[in-house]
Amino acid sequence: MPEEKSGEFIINNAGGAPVTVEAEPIKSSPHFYSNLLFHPENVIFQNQEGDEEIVLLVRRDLITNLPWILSAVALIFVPPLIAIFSSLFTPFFNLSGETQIIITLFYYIIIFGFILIQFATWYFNIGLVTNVRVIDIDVSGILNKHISETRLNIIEDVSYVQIGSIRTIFDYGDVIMQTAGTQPNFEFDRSPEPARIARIIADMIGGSR
Amino acid sequence: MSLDLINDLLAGQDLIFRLVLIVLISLYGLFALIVAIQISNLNKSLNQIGFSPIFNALTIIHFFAALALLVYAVISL
Repeated sequence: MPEEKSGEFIINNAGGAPVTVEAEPIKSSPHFYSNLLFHPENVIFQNQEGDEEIVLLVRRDLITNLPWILSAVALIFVPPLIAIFSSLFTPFFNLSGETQIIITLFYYIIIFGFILIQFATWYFNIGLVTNVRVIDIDVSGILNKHISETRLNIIEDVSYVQIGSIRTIFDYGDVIMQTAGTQPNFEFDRSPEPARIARIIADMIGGSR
Repeated sequence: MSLDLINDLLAGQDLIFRLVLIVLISLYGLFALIVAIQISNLNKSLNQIGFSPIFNALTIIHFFAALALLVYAVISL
């Protein structure tokens, strides 16, 4: 869970009203498993403008990776199981030890590739909110990339949807940003802490008007 | 005649398996190369400076592992 610290200090003048001074936003250090970052440091993206800073970096909640992780773990144990029951296959297949080793190594390379692709699909499916615009990067099947962006001042409304017990328990949902006119709406799907994300974006679009 | 052919095939199934494996590993190596290139391009779209080099290295290792297995499968024929 990322820590968001207050960016304000209140100074009491002697006899006068308290003065609120906005401190510099505290930057988050990103990890490869980070799914929600506030003002992340050491993260840059293509076509980033000179004065543009990332305020929010949003990925799908980590729990959404559970199905493929469990699949990968189950698949890792398939060759040992086949080795245990290999006597059932020997009347039909009679392969040398070397061939069996090559088949097993090839199988594990495929599993490694499966994990790489599934992780990359989660890692690069990202929503970015900067001080200027909102960017949605969608990657499906590793070879398909779709990038869409919109300026903050075009966003009219932001809301979130959290349906179901799993999403409620693990606190993730869809954040929907409604844009003006005929522009397509933006959606950060299965985002962690959607209420917080929606509040931050709402504050930003309120401040940009 | 057909029975002799089937017998010959069953007797040489190891060789047939090896040849099929070599073809499949070659195709997979090509796929691994495409994945490595695509992930390198995606890292330019979004660059998390601490992790991008590690991710690129993993994809390159994946490609070279497939390549090494192909070489081993061919040499050990």
